[in-house]
Amino acid sequence: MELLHNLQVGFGVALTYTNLFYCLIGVSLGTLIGVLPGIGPVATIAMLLPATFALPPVSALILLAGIYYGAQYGGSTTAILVNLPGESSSVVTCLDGYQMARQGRAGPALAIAALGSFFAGCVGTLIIAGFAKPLSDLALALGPIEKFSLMALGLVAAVALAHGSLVKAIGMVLIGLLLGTVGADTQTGQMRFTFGIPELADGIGFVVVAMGIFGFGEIIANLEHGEQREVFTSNVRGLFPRGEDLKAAWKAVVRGTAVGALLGILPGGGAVLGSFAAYTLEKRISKHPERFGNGAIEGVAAPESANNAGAQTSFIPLLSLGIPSNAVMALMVGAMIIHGITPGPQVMTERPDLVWGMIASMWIGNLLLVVLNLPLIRIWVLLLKLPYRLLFPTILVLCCVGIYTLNNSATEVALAALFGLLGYIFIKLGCEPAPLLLAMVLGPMMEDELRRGMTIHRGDATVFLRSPFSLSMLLLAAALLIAIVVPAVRRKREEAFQEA
Amino acid sequence: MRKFRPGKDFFAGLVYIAFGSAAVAIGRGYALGTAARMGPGYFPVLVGALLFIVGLVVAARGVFSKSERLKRLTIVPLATVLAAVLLFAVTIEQLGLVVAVLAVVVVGYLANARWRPLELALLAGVLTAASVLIFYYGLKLPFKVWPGTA
Repeated sequence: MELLHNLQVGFGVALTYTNLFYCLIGVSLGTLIGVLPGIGPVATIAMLLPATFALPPVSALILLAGIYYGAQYGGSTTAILVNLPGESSSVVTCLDGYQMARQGRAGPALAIAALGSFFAGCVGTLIIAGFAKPLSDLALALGPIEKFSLMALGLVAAVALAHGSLVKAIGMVLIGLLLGTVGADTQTGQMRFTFGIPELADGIGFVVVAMGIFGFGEIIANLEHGEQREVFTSNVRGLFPRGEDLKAAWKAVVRGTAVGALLGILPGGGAVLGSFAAYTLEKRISKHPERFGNGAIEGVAAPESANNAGAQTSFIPLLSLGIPSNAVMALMVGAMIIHGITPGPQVMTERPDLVWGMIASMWIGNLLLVVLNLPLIRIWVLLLKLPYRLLFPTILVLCCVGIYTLNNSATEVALAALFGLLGYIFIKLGCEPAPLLLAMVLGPMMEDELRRGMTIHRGDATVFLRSPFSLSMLLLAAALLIAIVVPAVRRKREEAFQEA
Repeated sequence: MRKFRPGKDFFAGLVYIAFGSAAVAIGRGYALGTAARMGPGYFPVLVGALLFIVGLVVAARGVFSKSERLKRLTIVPLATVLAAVLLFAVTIEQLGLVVAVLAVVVVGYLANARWRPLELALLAGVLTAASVLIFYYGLKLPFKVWPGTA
């Protein structure tokens, strides 16, 4: 009954007026940026980090978490009405959602996306509540060698799940690890790669990198494309799905939730992968696969449930092991550090109010999202008419102010511009930047564990293979890499990403 | 023998090679230490060397197999967005928030193909006012607001 007690503590924290308020702000902002194409949760969370300085840590984390899962709800609205993914996790929702909208069934599509997401969110929250504690107990028993191998597995998984070329993704991880070494060496104080710039002594802030690459880099790339939008607003009538819709959709919701939750826990996972996998699964097992792409409601229900379930369960590695599993979670690590909390398994026992407050707030947030979103869809649609030429200067201002206030440092703003250039180059060259950010956050932890472990074991690298836990992590990583290189699996993987 | 036309992979490989060799070259200047007592140079040099190798592989694949062609670079959005951000960095400390935000909005807006002066004026006004209200008065962040004042 420890779980019940913990949840009680959590709801006690989450249901205070202050935290309810920040939860509401978080999910509303999340929906907003989810609806708007061209700005994602990574850039938004990075932008808002400085603004949360003044808040108590719990409120700050509740707010930031809300942005992430709120974005999954908002993304579907844009996908269905405009045939543009508001978020990358809604890419597959476009396929059938937009077709439904064209057939005048935008209402049921939006409703099933929201209801499916809510179901998935509830299940996701329960899974976090059930798994976080046992996993953190396990994590406390791990030594430096084991932790290093676990993080290595995380990076390999991030590579395996990235879009596009495998070797290129490995390169991005390595660049991320190098960026993580910038600054004073923790053990000797030696300055590394600082080029005499004093602001770099504490390392490159990952917010600077995130805003540069995900904020500025993407703005530049978006501006190149120009924009064409065709909004199906007039067709949002009769929100509620018919009986036959519900009958067709509920199994897809359950399956999508299961797939999404499972893939969300994986290191490197998150919301995006689950939505692809769930869609492919539905198409594969359907008796009428030809309906997909022509407005099949399962094609909306499954991926939308999966991305929300994945968004929730991707918090598990962060909360239980202190290891972020994707770029958004890497930012959450940053948020915790800013608020004086060292992420790791000990947080679970030292700050139960924080962890369980956040978990409880996620359930409340999901409820708020359903209650808010269905009636407010018209307002979100209105926002979609806001042209990008007005939107991007606004994002630019918010990014600049956000970076500057982080440390009151103009140098960091200039540095972010440099990373904007780098991010643009990466986008141009087809290099997916998300693994870089993850590696940059994991890098210093990994180097630390590696050095500590090697000192304990007198430089004997075979210890990585002698520790059973470490060996199994490394074998798993190797298996993952081999699996992707095997032609059959590679074709499937490309197919899954292609179908968007 | 077909003519070699470098594509995305080839250039990505070059970028990796550049990062990798820079890391090794600079990292060698820090104490390497031994495996049992790693110095500050050990990890960066190791990662840099790996990156160099990965870069070679990616570039080689770009030469020997067909990779997607690089799309044409458009300079205007790149130059204006970066210029806007750099202008903010240069002005924020000396001239304050109002000037810096105005600079970002006006220069950033240049990236648009069509100019609408009235719209720009309105946007700049709204964003500047909102920034001062939200960040200075609302969140009480320590900004210099106007040029000249403390």
